[in-house]
Amino acid sequence: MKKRTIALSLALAMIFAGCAATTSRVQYIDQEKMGTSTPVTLGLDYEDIHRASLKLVNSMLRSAYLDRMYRLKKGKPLVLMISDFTNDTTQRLDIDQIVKKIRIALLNSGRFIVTTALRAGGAEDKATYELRKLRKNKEFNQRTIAKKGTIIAPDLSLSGKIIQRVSELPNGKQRVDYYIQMSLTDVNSGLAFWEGEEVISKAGSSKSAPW
Amino acid sequence: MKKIALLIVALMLAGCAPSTYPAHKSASNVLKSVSDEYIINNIPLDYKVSIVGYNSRFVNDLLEVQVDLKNHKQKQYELEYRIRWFDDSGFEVESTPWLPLTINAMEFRSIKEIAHSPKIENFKFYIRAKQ
Repeated sequence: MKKRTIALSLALAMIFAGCAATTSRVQYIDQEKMGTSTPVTLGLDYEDIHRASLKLVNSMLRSAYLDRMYRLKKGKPLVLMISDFTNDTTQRLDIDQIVKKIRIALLNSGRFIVTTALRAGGAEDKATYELRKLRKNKEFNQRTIAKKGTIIAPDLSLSGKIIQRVSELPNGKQRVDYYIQMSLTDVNSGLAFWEGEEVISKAGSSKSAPW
Repeated sequence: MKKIALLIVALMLAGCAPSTYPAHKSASNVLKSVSDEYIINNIPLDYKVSIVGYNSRFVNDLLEVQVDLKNHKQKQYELEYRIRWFDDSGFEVESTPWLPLTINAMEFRSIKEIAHSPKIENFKFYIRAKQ
């Protein structure tokens, strides 16, 4: 009986040890192999954000209005500020996850430059203003301090909203739709020169939460 | 299984526009003339889904491409495609991630993408079965 108990314990220990070995293995995700494989979550994941930002940038770069604005500035890049973004989802999203990708692509296009001296809620990079506080500070060579009236005001502001809607499907599953909406407004006229929307729809078990 | 394997291995490569093309970058929305000789049909896909044509032009100084696909079978395929973008000296500037594409039975489908940099002059289009 004792031998049997020991054997059983050993067998169980080996099984659990095996489980531990397989579950604790960590690996890099190979984007090349993974491709557009089935999503693992009902929430917004890296793949969703990457594709949505790509499509929004494509739409912005095709915009005839923005092209005309760029040509009116005689080839000088349009200065863009990041304005308000509303996250109307149950997920805790850092809006920069999507905005940063858009900013990088727009900067690479050579047509846009993003100002970090101004953003909804204050400057994105406080250094621009901190530097100016050093005027009249004798420890600094005043010729190297930025002069008054040198910060460039934006031509455009980028604002947006992410909306989430959940609905029950007849098969008992749930459908989650995310609407990623963005607008580019000409800050001089207040007119939206470009607007875009990307919809991401996912379906999954009603027991899983979309966050 | 063999068909799936063929699809997975399949990598369609089309339309590497040569760097000798006349530049139309000063004007917007000018259609680039393209020659059929740069269209390579995908033999590994076994003619189930093939590239039947492509076109490119500069929109707002940025290269825009359109690749035309045709599903020759009475079956829906789930595929993925990507575009690699190159400058005029053949250096890769950027690439898209693999993007999903469902093509219905006998469907003709055009895919449009735009380069994000004015340095981009050429492209390569890849397609494979969904991973």
